[in-house]
Amino acid sequence: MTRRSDHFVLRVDPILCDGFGHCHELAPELVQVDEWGYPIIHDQATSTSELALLKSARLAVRGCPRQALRIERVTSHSETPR
Amino acid sequence: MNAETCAHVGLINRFGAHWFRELGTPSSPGSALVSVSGAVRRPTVLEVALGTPLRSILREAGADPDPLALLTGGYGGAWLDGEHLDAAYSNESLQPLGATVGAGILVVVPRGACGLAETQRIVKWMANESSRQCGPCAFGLPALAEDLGALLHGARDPHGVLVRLKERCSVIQGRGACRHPTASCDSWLRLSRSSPATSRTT
Repeated sequence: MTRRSDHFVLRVDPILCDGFGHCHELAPELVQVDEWGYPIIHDQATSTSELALLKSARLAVRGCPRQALRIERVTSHSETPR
Repeated sequence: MNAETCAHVGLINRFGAHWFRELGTPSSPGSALVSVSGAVRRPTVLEVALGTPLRSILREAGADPDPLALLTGGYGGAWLDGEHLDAAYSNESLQPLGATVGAGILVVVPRGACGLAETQRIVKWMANESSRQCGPCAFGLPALAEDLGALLHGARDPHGVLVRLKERCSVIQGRGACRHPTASCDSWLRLSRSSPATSRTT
């Protein structure tokens, strides 16, 4: 039986991304933008019980004109590899 | 895995490890190919025993005997101040000086040249190599080259530019579609730690 992961991170495909910045508008708690308009995604995992943040993340995914974002379910110890 | 390593393996297989170890040092055995360019008679590839003094390698290449600096290890390497020419061409000798053998490259920068200008040329080259597939690389790397250009041409606030360079690197690193922007930032940060790169601003 697999353990259901209880955290999530937003992931962006840097090639699809064109720096529109809608993700920052829709999920400002999770995404900042750099000086050139490209997303800086908070790389710490967020608990899925944070319903408002999960809702923002889903809005950001839907609102991206390039469909460059996805929500990745992770365990609490996952971090974005740099 | 590269052609030089394969050639060494073939020779070791044929003539034995003891034969290979006749050259070089105990911790850096054998010979290595080194590409020497810059202020030299002409760009050349030399095969040298590891542990050969840098001064001898430069003499062999017809290099400026009193250079300002040596770029060791390629663009991902480090500047070595010209006063360290008695160091040996091996990792155990270069590492305490902040350098490595790296990709087997030595670029000789003569005394009349500007270390910062040479460093800016390297960063600009790496920015031009961008495939422009992602924002952090396409915009970030040219911004680094521009900052270095500003330092070269007399920025009003050189300290502020250096701070901005460091901040831009931390924003760019890790956000590219490939490792090129991260590696380019790493290169600048490593080069900037060796004095010839920032000699104009100190």
